Amino acid sequence: MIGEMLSHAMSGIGDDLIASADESKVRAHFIRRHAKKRRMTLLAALAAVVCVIIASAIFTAGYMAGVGDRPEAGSSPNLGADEKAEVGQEIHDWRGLKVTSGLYSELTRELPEDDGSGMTESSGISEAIPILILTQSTDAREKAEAALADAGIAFSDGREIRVSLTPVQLAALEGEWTRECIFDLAK
Amino acid sequence: MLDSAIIGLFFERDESAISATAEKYGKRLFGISENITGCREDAEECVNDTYLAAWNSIPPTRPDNYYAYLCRIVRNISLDRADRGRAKKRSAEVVPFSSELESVLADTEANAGRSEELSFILDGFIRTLDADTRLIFIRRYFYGDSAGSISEITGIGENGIYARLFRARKRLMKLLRKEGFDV
Repeated sequence: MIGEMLSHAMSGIGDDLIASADESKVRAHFIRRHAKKRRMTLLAALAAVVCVIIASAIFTAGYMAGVGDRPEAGSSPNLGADEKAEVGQEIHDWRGLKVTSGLYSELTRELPEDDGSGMTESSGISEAIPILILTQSTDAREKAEAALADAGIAFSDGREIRVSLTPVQLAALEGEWTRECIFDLAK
Repeated sequence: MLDSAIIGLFFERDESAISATAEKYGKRLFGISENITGCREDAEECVNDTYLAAWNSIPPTRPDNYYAYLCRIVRNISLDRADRGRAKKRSAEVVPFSSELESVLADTEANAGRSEELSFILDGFIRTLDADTRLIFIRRYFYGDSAGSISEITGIGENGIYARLFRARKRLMKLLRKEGFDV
């Protein structure tokens, strides 16, 4: 009974409501609705793809920039051109020396067997050479200092470790940290 | 033919107004009536009665929305016929959506005495629904469409239609309770 009363009451709703729910209008409304939904989904997917492309482009650019900054084999790693110039100036101010890169490979090349005298005739380099050890971290500096102390080699304190080494001494110190942070100094 | 022209024919007492109405709205009116009565023969009679009712009421009435006016007439005639049919026990469940609407309102004398008020409340309630639910609600409870045919029209699954109607009825029940009806 009450359901019928409500059914009859539905006849009293406004003309605009009745007309708006005509089948063709409802169909058109939902077609538009679904089309909009599809557009939004497509846009969201497109936005996601664009975000991925941008992110990968940023990552690639960053990676390539990193590759460009990498030092070549044989040169001092982890230092850019500006930093090297700065270090060179600092060393020049310190002892009137300038940094050269060629000696590093000379110093770290494979040396002949040590005869126990601390000198190697075949090397042709018997004099102690001023060396600057630059370390990027406290850990590396501690390793360097420990290695020098073990070898009984005197060195200066401070951010840079300044020390004079013969090629044999240098070879004895050879380790991971030496390749990364040794600068040779030569007049 | 434009609605205003058809109404003009009614005012001139030109019988071609009926054929013009039948040509333009006949199928849709038949659809409403068939949804309510569930019988083709009854629906055809209800539509013919609608044309007659329109002929008798225009003039003096000049409906603002001719289609809505005809829908309302055919709906009332069909509901009355369905009620009569049920009284004669011709069918157990004549108006399929009535049972759904029953759930929102208690069958009490107090409620029965406020039938006039209900139309006004329903109109206001439907206007508060979102566009999709509003259209689904009207298709179901005014036009008498089944969930299947609403699903076909809207592209929403039948379960989605039932869910929206259920939520709408729940909201209607709350509103009616707030308005002092027994629910």
